[in-house]
Amino acid sequence: MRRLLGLTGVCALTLAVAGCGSNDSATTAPSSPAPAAGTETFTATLAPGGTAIHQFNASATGTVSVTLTTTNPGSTLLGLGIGIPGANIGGCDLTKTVQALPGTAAQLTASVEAGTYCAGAFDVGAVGRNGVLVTVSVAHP
Amino acid sequence: MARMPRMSRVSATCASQWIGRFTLASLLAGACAMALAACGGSSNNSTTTPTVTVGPQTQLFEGQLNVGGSAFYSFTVQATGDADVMLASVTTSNVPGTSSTVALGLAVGTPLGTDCTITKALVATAALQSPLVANLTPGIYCVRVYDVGALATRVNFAVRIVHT
Repeated sequence: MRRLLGLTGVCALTLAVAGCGSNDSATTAPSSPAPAAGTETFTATLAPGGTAIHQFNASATGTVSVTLTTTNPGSTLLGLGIGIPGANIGGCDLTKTVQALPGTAAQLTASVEAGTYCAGAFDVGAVGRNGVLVTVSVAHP
Repeated sequence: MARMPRMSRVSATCASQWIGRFTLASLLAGACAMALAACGGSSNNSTTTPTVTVGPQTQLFEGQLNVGGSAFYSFTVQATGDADVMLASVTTSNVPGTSSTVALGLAVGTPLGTDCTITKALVATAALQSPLVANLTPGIYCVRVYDVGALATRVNFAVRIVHT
C-alpha cells in the first residue's frame, strides 16, 4: 500500500512538473528590472591624466545632474562629463564637459531621454602623482 | 475437489495479493503515463506559432568626420516604428574635455551605392536627446552624418540609433 501511495505521489509530482493542471496558458516573459529614477554615487581614484566613468540608466525624459561632491586632496579642479557609452574616453563618448571644483550643487546638467548614459570625472592637469580620490553623484530621471 | 494443503493456500493468498497490487500499480502507472501524454499533447491539437516581439534595438555609429566630409551607417528595421537618431557626441580629439558644439548634418535615408540617399535631415549639435525621428517600415536604412560647412578641423562623432 505504501508503495502504491508512493507511486501516486510520484505521478502527481511528475504531472505538476510537466505543467499539467494549470489552466493558465499565458507564458511569462523573462523580465529585467525596470530602470527607475534616482541618485547614484560613485567613488574612484583618479590617476594623473585618468578618468573615472560610471554608467547609469535614465528611465524617462528629464534632466541629469552631475555633482563632484568631494575630492581628496580637497578642492582639486577636475573635469566632469556626460555622454553615452562608446569607444571614446573611458568607454564614454562625451557630449558635454565642464571644469569644476567639488561642491554640493550640481556642476553639470543635461537633458536626456530614456536610455543608457555615462558620466564621470577626468583629470584636467591638477591631479598629482598620488592621484585624487573623487566622489561623484549622478541624479537622473 | 481435494482440499488444498495449508501452506499452498497461504501461498495462493500472497500471490493473489501481490498480483492485485501489481495490477493496481500497473494501472496507476498506465494512467499516469496517459495523463502525461495528454498533458504534453495539450487539449488543443493546433500548433502554436511563437510570437516574435521586435523590441527596440540600439546601435552606435562612431567615426571621424573630415572637413567637408560625410559618413553613413546602415541598419535594418524589422518592424514598423520610429527610429530615433541622436547626435550624442562631437569631440575634437580623444582627450576628455574636447567636446564640441559644432553643428553637423544628421539624416536618415536609404543606402544607394556607396552613399546614403537622404529622406529626412536636419542640422544638430551634440545632445542627449534625439532630434531626428523617422517612422520607418521594415527595410534597410541608413543614417548619414555630414559637414554642413561649420567644421574647421576633423572631429570624432558618436550617433545613437534606436529603432524597431
